[in-house]
Amino acid sequence: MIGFLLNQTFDLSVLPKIEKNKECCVFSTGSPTANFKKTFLQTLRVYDFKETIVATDITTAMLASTLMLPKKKYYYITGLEWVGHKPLVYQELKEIYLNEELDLIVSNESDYRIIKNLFKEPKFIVKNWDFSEIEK
Amino acid sequence: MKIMVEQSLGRIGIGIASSLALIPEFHISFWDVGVKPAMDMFDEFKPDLTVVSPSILGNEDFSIASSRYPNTAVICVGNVKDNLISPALSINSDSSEFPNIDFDEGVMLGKIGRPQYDEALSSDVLCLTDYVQETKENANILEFLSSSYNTKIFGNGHFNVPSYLGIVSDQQRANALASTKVVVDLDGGSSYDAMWLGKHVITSPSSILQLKKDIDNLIEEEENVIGKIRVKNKTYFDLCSQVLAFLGLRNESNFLMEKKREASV
Repeated sequence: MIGFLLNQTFDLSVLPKIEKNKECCVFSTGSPTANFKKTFLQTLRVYDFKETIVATDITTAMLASTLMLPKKKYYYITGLEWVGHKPLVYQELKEIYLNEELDLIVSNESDYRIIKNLFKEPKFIVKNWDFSEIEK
Repeated sequence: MKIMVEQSLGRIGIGIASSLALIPEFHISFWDVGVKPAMDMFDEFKPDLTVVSPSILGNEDFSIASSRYPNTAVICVGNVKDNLISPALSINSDSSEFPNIDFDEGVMLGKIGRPQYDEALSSDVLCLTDYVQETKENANILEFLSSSYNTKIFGNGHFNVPSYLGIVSDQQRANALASTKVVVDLDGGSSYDAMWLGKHVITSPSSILQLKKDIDNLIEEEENVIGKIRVKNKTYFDLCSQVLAFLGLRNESNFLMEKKREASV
């Protein structure tokens, strides 16, 4: 089972992609689309979650890093979020991208190279939200 | 001893302040001219020494305030002209009316300390943007570095490229310098710090093509011994030691030279 942590204003277009994963649920303070077929829970419920959790942006990565129960914690990087962010403080980036609690997953080869050079080597490349390889 | 350094002096002001701050009983503050009038600054802080730019010497308020504190020594950084008061000493001035020390740029030893290699901060190419202007030309250079090399970019100057990782502490900055192979200097000063640590530097690249050639040549090179020798006596500790000796503060002057020897080991 994989739990995806989405922020409040997540892009609705990711839901159909998440849905394709066999066993998964979503934690968010946002709202799902009416036809979303998987379990959609309030973010607070993540504190009881014991399976693999996947953070999907910087804010959810910060939350994921503090969770005690999940058996595995990942940060799925789908974009270089810090670019253009002002003011940018390295220590804050370090606490997320070099956090020992979190393993990094990227969505393409280009980001793999960038993240490896700038922070640490990502564990996996997961394209298009298909986490079936990781679940094995 | 209370020392007031004008905030807008840039790297040279920081270099002086970070050196003097290491001396026991020396208290350093920065003066933001746009926020605090000269008279208020003098009345509230009562500095023993002020380090200011030439424009301040032509400022009537500063002239009056300074005359009320005759024991406060004034040091001017830059070419003095149209001045209402004469500085006790100038740095980099053409004028022959008062004593002058020439100092183009130097190693900011007070900020470097004793850095260590840090895997998280390591890179092939490093650029520090604290005093880099956010121009299109510089942005293009950083864009090229970011996309072509294992590059890290740190500093207060903000650039929208993936390798720009934001503002760092002095220690992180120094460790980043110690953990890179080549430093691209776009501010005219960071190369001194890099050379002190034996790193290869590229200053003012004439074109992207030339920059690429230079980086490719230098990236596999061993330590930059020549660079290290070049900057051996070009440090802010040397400058401040000279200034203190001029002011008759021999012990403090020697203290900085001793600190420099310690940093050289």
